[in-house]
Amino acid sequence: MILIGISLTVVAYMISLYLSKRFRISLMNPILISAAIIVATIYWTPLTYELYKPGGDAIVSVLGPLVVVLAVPLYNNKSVLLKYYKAISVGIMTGVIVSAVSVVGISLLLNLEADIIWSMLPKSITSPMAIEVAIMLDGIVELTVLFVACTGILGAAIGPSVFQLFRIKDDTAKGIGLGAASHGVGTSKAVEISGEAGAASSLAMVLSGVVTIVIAIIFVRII
Amino acid sequence: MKLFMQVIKEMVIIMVIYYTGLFLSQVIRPIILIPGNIIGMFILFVLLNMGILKVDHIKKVSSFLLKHMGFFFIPLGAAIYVLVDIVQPIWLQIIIVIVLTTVLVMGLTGKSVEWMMKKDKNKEVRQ
Repeated sequence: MILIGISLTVVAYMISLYLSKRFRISLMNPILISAAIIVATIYWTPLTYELYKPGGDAIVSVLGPLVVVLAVPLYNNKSVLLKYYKAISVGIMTGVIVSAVSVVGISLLLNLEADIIWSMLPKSITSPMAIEVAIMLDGIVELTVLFVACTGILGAAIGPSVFQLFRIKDDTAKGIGLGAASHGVGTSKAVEISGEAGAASSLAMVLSGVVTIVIAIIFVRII
Repeated sequence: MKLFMQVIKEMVIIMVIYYTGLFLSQVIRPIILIPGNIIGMFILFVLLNMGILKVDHIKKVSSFLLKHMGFFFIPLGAAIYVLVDIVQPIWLQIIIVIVLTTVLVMGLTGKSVEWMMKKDKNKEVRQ
């Protein structure tokens, strides 16, 4: 039973990896492409969602340790962190606050409901950390994952235009912006800009995740 | 065989740290809720900094997991199949929020970093 979901996910993932290598455009996000393949399979073949779910749940149940290994990029880029610690701290705080305020503000203006807003709140941080925040805030974890993936793709795609619009020229600043706004997908874009931008971006990805979680912890504690 | 043993060893190290984090999270739960894996990440960072663990000790498994992190989230993404009724009436609003906030976060973050760097540089020049 469990093997059906696992093997379908593995096959979908391998197809998505092939596609993202073949067509090097950021729209080819493995999570979204794989999810689309699975949804199409469920829709058009006798395989039902109920048959898929046990295997899917098994995969999700082992994602906990992913956050632990995020300590590695943090450690590897420690020298960049120490060199620019002031600028990076200011950038991360700005990113996290702007993200929270703008998500809640614009969502309220557009009449979105509370559970959607809570699910959207951590969309700029890396998935394993975002789902922890979604769980703490009682959001819908599955929606959070989709919002996170969309934000990643979008951020990587529009990054260069955003930097032009805001007249940002420094590579480290670009990297922090990409990492803080669109986590891992943004970081892979930053790596293309330069090594400096890539290092700054992976730092920003981990740190803005940590800061968001700390704020969520305090928020939940007060309420 | 040697590679296999290395991978097992690395997985054991990461899992021990992960479960230590989960355990500590349970212990402090009555006071404050901190996700166990965040505590685990903090433990690993401290161990690396103290030199007790080297990146080489967990290199294979950690780089594999970082590279293929997305795989573990696919089933959650596929759950759109059962959540489509929630998203369908509000998809346009969601896209507007994602586009506007992503531009704002990226632009203002980058701008604030540049501003702080310039400020620091000016200070150095004056000194």
